[in-house]
Amino acid sequence: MEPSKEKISNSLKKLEQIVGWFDAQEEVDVEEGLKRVKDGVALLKELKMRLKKVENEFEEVKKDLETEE
Amino acid sequence: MDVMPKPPKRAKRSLQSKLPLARVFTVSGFLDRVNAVLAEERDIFVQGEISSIQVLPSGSYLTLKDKEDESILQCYIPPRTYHGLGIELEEGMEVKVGGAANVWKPKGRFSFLVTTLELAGEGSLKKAYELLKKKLEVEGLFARKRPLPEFISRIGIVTSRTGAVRDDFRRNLAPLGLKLYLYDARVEGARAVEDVTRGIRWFNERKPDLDVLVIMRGGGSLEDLQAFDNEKVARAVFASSIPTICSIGHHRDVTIASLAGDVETSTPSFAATFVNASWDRLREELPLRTQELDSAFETALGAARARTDAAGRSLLHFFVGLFRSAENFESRLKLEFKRIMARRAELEARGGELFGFAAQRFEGLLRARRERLLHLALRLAGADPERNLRLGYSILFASSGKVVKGPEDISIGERITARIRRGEVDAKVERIRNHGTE
Repeated sequence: MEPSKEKISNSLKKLEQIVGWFDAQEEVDVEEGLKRVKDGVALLKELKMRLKKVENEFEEVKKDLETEE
Repeated sequence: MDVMPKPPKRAKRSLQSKLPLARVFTVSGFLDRVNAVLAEERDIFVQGEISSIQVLPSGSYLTLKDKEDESILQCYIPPRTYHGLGIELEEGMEVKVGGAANVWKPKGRFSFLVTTLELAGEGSLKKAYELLKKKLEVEGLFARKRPLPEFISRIGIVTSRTGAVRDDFRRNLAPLGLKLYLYDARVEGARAVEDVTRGIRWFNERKPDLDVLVIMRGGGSLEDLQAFDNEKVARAVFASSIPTICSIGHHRDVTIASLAGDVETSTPSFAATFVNASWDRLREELPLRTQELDSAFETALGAARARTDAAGRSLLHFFVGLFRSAENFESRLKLEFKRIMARRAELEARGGELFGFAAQRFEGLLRARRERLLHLALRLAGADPERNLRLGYSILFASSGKVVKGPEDISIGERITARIRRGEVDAKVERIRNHGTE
């Protein structure tokens, strides 16, 4: 399922937090670091997918309106 | 401009053909008949200048004046129609009214029942524009500008399905799998105001989760665009809970609807760039975050590697120390061994000396012993029984086999044996003579 805009925003925030975590550590626990990198890569992958070229869908709604009215 | 030609000859002919020649009507019957004939004339538009206007709860009364011969047409606008106009009418404005003519029977007054009204002529349009702009500005309709959401995915479009703007907009959108919904609305003419406002309302009611609503129309004259200088449309735009982009081709000034919208663009392609730009943060941040994550982890790994290397070096140092100690130990061991061997050699050397000394002493001892033995041998040789036997002595053995050394060792009658040189003699004791003790 394609991520919603809230999810995109949250994912970007999470990515930022992951990078921030590395910056904040004086000594990075490699195990923990690796886990976070894995999470980060998964987020990046998902977000990159959202930027992949996908045709826009176009729908006319007037007919729907006319049948309902 | 659709101005009704005058006089309406066609209507006259039509009236004559439908009235029987010698028929007498009642007043009411005649007016009914006239109204019936008038009602057959549809899609009538009349253009003229407002010479007077009276707005009452029961309806608005408008007098239209012909600019050339100052002919007068009384018009009636029902309250609902008037409130739906969205135009501030003033005397002197030129308007084009649509509707039908009839005679109001109680007063026998001929009037035009207005169903649509549009402004005509640049002056009127400009005047109405300024009036409306001032009014809505005071109300604060142009002050609120909501930011467009990020990552716009679902878009409602209010425009004509046949217009080129729709395609311009679509063509300029980045292919991001966006969902576009088109509400086909007339964007010009008497029905435009109603269509556009309905479209805006429809999306707000039926698809309130849209990210943005785009109201579009291509460029045109002040008159062509007047639906977007309309109070109704402007209020509908302002009332939209979905953020709006108004992309309406400009006349000299920005349309009132555009002023009431959140974002105003002059072309549909520019509206598309706003949608595309809502994805900019993702486009920009992704490579940045990828790089940051990569470098953060690389730095962390580097630090860990450095720590491991340091630990490795310490370990190596320790082992090297250990090996060195072992080497030292070995060389010490070797040294000790050499010392021991040297000592041993020394001891061996000394041992030789001692041995010589001992041997010398031993030889002395042996010599003394030999001499002693010789002496003893000489002495023994004197005590040898065989030698005595050879000299004539004999040795007596009692019957018990024991050597008889004195008279007490034998008894009378006992058989004894005498050993002599080269033989033995058996005898019997007959008499014993004891010579006393020694």
